[in-house]
Amino acid sequence: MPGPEDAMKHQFQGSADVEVDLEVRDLSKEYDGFRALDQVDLTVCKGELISLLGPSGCGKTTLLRSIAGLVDPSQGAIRIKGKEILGIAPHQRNVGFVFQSYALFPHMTVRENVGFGLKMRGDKRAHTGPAVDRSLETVKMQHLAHRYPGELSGGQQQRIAIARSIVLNPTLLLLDEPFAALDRALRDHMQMEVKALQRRLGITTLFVTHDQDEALRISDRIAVMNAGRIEQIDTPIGLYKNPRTPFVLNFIGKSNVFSGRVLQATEGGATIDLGGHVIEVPLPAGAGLVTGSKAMISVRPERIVAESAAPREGEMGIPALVTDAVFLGGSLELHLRSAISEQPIVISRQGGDPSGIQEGSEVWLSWQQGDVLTFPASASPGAEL
Amino acid sequence: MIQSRSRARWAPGLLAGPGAAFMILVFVTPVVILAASSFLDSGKQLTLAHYWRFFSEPQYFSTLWNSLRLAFFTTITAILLAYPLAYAMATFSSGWRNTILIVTILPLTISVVIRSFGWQILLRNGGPINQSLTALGLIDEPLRLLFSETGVVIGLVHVYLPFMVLPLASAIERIDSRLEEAAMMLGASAFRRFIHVVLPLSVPGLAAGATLVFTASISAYVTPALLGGEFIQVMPTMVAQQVLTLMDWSFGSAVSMILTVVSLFVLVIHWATAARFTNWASRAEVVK
Repeated sequence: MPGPEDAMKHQFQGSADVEVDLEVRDLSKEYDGFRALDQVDLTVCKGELISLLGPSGCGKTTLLRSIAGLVDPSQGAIRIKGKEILGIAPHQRNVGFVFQSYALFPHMTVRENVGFGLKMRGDKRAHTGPAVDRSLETVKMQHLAHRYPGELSGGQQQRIAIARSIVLNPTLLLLDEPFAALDRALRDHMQMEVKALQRRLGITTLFVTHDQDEALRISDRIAVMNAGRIEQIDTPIGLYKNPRTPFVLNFIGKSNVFSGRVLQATEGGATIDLGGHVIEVPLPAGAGLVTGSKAMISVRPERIVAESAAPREGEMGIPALVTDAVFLGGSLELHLRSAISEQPIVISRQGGDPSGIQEGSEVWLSWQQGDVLTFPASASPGAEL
Repeated sequence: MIQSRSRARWAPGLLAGPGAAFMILVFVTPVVILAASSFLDSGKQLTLAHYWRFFSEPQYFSTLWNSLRLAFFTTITAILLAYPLAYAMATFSSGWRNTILIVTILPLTISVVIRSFGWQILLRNGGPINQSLTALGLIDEPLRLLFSETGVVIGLVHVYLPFMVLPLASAIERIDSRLEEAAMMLGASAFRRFIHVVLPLSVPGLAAGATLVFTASISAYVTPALLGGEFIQVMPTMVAQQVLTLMDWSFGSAVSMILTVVSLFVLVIHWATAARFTNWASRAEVVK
């Protein structure tokens, strides 16, 4: 299974020497005995858009605020362009921070807000200067430069917050739940806009979210966080296809989970008893499954095939009953009941063509060996979400 | 539904009724009577003589100046003392906040008369303050604190400080702490965060507190009377003197009216400028 560094190289294939903008090493933060961050390692390359994804309390915001200098970590190191920044004042780290609520100064116009950082650097007339104009132009907000933040919509406020950060040419742009305060339609739009802006400026960006769709939509790589640790860092596809823990499996995309017993485990594969059906699964190295142990088996909804025709001799076929067929436009979602699972099985068929399968149909389920993800059954704390 | 809506329409009027009636009885009526008597001479003829007398004689006119100066210094001192206190109240944990709140408003439960007598003891020439300062070698002669402007300002600040602290603390509390963080990320030092973010956003509370303290201290009677004595003549003490000692009701009424107009003028300035100071907030309301 590829590690985070591999995934990073994969992402930036072609560029001979990848420039590292941010390195977090062994970073921990304790609050009165509570470990908000637990030995976190993270490497972010120049121009990458990385999301920190996890449930509330997983430490993602603490990590972001530690990088910004708004939180003092208990131990570890943070380097920006190779330079240690712990102990350096927040504004000297050359980091832009966009707050969840945007934190625009309500008593200053848009122009004064964007010029504030330059003014603090000694340019008294900054808010009328060309740098502010350029920054406002970047986010397409010149026409509202004279307004007050309270007169702007959420999306407009967000653009101003971004303009206020990028006017200082930061090495790193940090966004804390940037889309959480926007309504659904605007959120989708702003996600794409922020991604396009990030691509255009080539600015290394780290953003925090608890929304997996959001992370999948705009990230180059996603760091899935749980209980103060980074569980896995990979590209969206990498995380979906090869989740390393049940937590990641459950957090990224939907999945059907079955429990079974390992009949025989060998190097590279295992046979598993799944409620009377014996299936073969590939086993990645170090999966921790031995003969006789309990296993957690997962198959993504779109990887399960349902057929009306009975399987031929030697082929896989688990009988199931369709309890519901939900037409979703581009796809058809089947809910099924089967002896192998107490939970309803959900499968998704692209194209939305029912092809004779409907509520009450008896079908046979099968999947490719390679589409099965197998975890030791004991390794599922936090899997229930 | 229809019933409840129609009830909702007259309910506020009904609820406000007793209070409004009371205010008309004890505020509007006396002011009207006072105004009327200030424009009448002893023969019940209309006249401006009382006002002319006030503004033409330096002795009376300087009393107005005394009042304005005392109210001004009281307000400034109250702002300087209240701001750190209000800031602490707004930023501390709730335990400390309650402690400060109680310490701030506790003096309100003690009569102003009693507190003024207390200050008389503290401020007099042989009192604890002068004794301590002499013992420390800071002064050779006792400071004239009692029966001086300083004494009156100290007494007034003590009485009206809560009226400054409370609106100020509530204004500072409403400021999003992330604004200060944002300013910090953008390179603002603690001092500049205060000057550029906290101070401008606390102006509504500051203005409300200043208006309250100014109008209250310009019309205060007990504190100037007990701590200023005959040496510090202010408008309210002059009114009392004219009416109670000299029995000159008409001139007393004219002085009262001038004082009332000055207070109203301060209120009008507050209303007129409050909207300007906070136009960002009122404009924001329209959008939300």
